[in-house]
Amino acid sequence: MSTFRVIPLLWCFVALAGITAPASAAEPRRPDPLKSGLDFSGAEIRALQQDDFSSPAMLWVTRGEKLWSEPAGKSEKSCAGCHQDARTSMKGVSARYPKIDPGTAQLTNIEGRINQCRERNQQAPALRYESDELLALTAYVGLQSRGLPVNVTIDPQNQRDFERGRDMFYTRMGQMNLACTHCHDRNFGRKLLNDTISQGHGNPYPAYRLEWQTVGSLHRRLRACFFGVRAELPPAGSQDLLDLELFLAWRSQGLKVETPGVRK
Amino acid sequence: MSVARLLVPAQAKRGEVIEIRIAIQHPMETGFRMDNMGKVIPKNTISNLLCRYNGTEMFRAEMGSGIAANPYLQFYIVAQDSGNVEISWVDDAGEKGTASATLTVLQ
Amino acid sequence: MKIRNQNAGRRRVLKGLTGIAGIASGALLSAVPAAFAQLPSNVRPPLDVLVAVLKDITRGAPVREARVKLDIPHLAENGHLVPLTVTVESPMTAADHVTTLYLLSEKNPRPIIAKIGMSPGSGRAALTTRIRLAGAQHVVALAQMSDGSFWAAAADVIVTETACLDASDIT
Repeated sequence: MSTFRVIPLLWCFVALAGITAPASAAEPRRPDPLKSGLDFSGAEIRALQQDDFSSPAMLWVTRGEKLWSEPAGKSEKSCAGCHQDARTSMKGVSARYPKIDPGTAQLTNIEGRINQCRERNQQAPALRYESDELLALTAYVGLQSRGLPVNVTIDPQNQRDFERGRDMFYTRMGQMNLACTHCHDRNFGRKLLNDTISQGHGNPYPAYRLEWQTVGSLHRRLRACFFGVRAELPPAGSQDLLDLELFLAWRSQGLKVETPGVRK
Repeated sequence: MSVARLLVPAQAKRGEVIEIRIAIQHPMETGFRMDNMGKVIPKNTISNLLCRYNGTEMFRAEMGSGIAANPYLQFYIVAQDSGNVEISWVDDAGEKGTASATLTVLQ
Repeated sequence: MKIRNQNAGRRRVLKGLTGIAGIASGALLSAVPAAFAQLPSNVRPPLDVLVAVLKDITRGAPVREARVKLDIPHLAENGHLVPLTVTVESPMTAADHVTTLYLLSEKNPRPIIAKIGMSPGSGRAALTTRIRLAGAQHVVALAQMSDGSFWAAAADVIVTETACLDASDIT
């Protein structure tokens, strides 16, 4: 190739490298355009999620609605006793989580908040992650934010948690030595065997996953991803997963909450 | 106790074919899965589901592990007289469940 | 070893099944498609199972491929939940109605997925449900009419494994 052709080519590469430098912990970026996992799902999954009656996820919402009005613990108080109609009191709440709880000054998600309420205000034992009851209540509360944009605030109080979550997203891990960004930023829309890789947002959770044959929490889904790259699974409710949950919420800012979603 | 959702139209005209939809929370355990300790999880599926309309059997489903977890059925019945549509089922463990709804039939 | 042709097609399946269902017992295996002739003897071609189940149900009566429509995705997102709708052309009168609807699987460990009982009170012979499929296979919807006749439709469904293994139920 003659010199005058090589130099423009080199400049092209240099210029392109600047434009398409992948997102990193130093430069975290939201995927553009922001797309829900539903956009990467087939027609059957979309049909399941969008039919409120036949969506398998709604069975847990029905249970959650019942539990909302049931007295719990030594207090004999129900959620409704303080919060009345969830459709009003819980509207938009899930969309703003996870957040720092003013009482404990700790980063807390909806599951944590529900358990805190149970222990403190209802004198009832905390519910286990993936238990029918906790999934039902989280799904029911999450439903009250359905259609609203994810809206978390990063401020000096949760900055450290955010940074830890962000670093985790961009750090290679596991036997496969992959970071979340490798699949969910650089390869969304492409196929992994027969699966189409999504952008990895948490907006439909808790969701009914066909693979689980039941509804599961976001932490369960994250643990599945850790297993996917053969890394150690952080426990559900751990600081690691909470930090990651916060970063994921920031990363999906503006995307509509879809709880309770249906995914494959 | 498992959750069930039953959808029956609130009212119908006499002779009209109406759609019945039922969704039940149930693992429909196949009997082929093993737990984390390697022990087989025993089979437990909803085996017999019956739909009765004012006491008369209209529809019956004998299901097995080939039906997906949290079974969902959508079928039809002819609206005749106002009354009760009742779905009842039993699973391998002997647990019974029912869901019912009232149907008003306009003449 | 010959690799089974995944594109066997509905017609070939039902032709085979119709022919076989009408043959007296004992002649069953001789009707196995020629493509399977070179498989080792301990490998049973999957169609055998369906053939045996059909014969059990129909007692040798002919099965016609008509009147039944089976709506099922050709590529299932996940074998744990595959939605389907079966519709049978039938006036659903006392004189002419569907009495039983069978959903049959070629490769599931239990070939009879469901046995549905209907009556003239059903008004419409249609059913929507969700099934499990253990791998890519044929699904057959078989309708038995009040006059004893059998009608069926078959579909070929591709079911793939999930790309990332999920062991998130470990505690």
